[in-house]
Amino acid sequence: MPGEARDSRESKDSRNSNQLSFDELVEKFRNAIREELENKDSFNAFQNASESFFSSLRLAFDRFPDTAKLAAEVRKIKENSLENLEYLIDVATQNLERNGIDVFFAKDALDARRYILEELSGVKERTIVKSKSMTLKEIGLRYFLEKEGFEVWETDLGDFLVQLANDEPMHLTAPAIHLSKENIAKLVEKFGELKNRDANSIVRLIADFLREKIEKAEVGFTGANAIAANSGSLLIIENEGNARLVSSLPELHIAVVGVEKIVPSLQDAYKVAEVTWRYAGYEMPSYIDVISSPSKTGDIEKKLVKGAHGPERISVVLLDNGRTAAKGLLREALKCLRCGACLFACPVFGELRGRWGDTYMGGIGVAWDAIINSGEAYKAHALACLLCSRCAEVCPVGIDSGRILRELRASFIRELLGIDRGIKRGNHKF
Amino acid sequence: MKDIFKLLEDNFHKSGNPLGVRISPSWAAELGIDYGGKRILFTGLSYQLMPFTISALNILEKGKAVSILGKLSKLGLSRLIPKKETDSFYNALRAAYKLLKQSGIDFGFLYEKEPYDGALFYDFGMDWLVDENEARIKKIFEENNVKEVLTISPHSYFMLKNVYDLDIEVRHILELVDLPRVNRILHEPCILARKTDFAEKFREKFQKLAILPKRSGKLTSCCGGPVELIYPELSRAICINRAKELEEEAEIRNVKGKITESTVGFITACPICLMNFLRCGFEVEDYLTVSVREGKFAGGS
Repeated sequence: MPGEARDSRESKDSRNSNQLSFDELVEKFRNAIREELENKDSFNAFQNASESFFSSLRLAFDRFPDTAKLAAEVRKIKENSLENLEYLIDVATQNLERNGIDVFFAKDALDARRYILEELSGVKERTIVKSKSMTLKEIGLRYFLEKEGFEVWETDLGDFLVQLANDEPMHLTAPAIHLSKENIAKLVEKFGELKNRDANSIVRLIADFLREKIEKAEVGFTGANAIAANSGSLLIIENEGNARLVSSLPELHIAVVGVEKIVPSLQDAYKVAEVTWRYAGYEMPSYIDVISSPSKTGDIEKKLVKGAHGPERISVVLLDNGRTAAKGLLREALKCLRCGACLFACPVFGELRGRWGDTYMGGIGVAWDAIINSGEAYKAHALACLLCSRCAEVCPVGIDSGRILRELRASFIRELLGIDRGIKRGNHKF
Repeated sequence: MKDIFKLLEDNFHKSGNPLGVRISPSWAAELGIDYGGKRILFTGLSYQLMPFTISALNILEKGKAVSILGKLSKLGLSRLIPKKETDSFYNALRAAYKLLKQSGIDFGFLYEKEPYDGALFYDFGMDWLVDENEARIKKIFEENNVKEVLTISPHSYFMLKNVYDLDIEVRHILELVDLPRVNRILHEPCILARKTDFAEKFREKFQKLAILPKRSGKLTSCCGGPVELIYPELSRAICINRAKELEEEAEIRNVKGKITESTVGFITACPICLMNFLRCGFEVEDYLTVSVREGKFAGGS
């Protein structure tokens, strides 16, 4: 229930990872590994989900055989965008503002939270709703707002289940992948009566419960899959329909988006989105939302009135949090579309699921943890990578997490032993 | 952990390999391989170090905490006794010799002077030792006028071909020998399939050699070996699940080698894979050993 959960990192250990020695970090993670290896339900649930994922992926590629070609194009779009990131941040800011959207550049998570709290200062209703977003998780939004006295509800079904379980998401696109139907039914019965314990009944009960919360909320939070700099638009892909409700029913929509999501044009953004959902195993998503300004109408004497059916105000937080400072191979990780395909391909993730990684998850998640300065835990987690590069085979933009994590190891092991040699292999090509 | 990394470094400086053990080249002497030459067989000590690795991991895995690693550093890994699996690794080296000879390839061996391939240092990111090892290998090869090396371990092939900047010809044994068909499931090593030019150049040798499971080639799934030193339980879990996949494949194909319900007779092509499957209790052999024993070259000792 809202308010019961603590900060994700606090919930795993009473001490912040910055307070632990390297040995303690490794030992702590080794204990977590031992614990998770005992979780056979989670293992089996993930194996089943993994098989379904690869079947869906094959079907999606059969129906859209040009996907790999499109992915190659998206890889170039992302590379070019990252090379011109500062320029694109400026262009996106200008065009979002021109469309009537408030923009705040947050240098880190603290900065973003501070701004958000200011935005919420005049809000009377304490119920807040959010859609699934790793960037919102990155800034610890839910736990932060709960501490500030708000009642925050995850509206993505998987995230909602994780919230009920007071757990952490186990996959980028499938957060409740570790929970069986039986366990889910038990969780859901905490707040409502199930007519049947089948999936349909569970979904109906949750959707009805959340609809009431969404209608009540004055503020809705989302992330975005891409930002088109030239049009000042956010692209959000989803299947459940919760993100469109969260971004349109409350009076204020706040989107927190990493700056690496900015691409030059709306066409580029669409291509990014299409490759993302396809590699996430979907032929087509249920919805592709393009949001370019607050809701508005000029139907009465041609005078512009904001907030007709949708929100009166939209606020976009462009989050840096270490992204523009990422160097070497770490910068490769910024190309990640967060489709989650690599996680299904990874043997380590198959065993540990969301326990591998601190804020983010999987091999790519460990790289992201290093980028966003979420603490020192990434060092212990980086040592769990097999460097087998299976992830790179299924990544739409060709990210080899193993290469990145090997370079990370090289950096912190040199530091650990006080070595100033051996830096020439940083960008070694496999 | 610092103690462990330091131990690996100290061992390397003292004895030329990260485990600090003495590697005997008697297997090569017994076969009568000539010393040196422009073309040499290069093991990178990878096969020879694996029995010691199994012993060390068996102790590590029983330990409750990282502190056991520190205790081991005081004990000294060199005092650990290699287990009976030793033959599995040396038989692979002997088989490599036979296959090369039967293919008419002349080569020598550097015996005690053979350098370590440096794979562990590279994987851990101990790049200053990778640099040192590169210089050491260069020096040894220059002193011995080595122009061409024939590697057996995929990790040696990767290190010499892709990591070090060496002015020599680096070849994998599969480039030079033709293997007979054996009725076994082959676990393909990740490093050959995805990190080298192997797939493009000579993967068809694997296709001709054995039965390839569903997850093979570019999508072959790791044996878990590379994380065994820090997270042995994780390594074991990955190994067991990979072995289950291979076992299921063996059951479907009803291939030779299935010993009991809990073991499966499959083959692999990498000393680290061989080590990890063996230490997890699976019936596994190196593809070279099986090729010599069960293929058309059988009896060619």
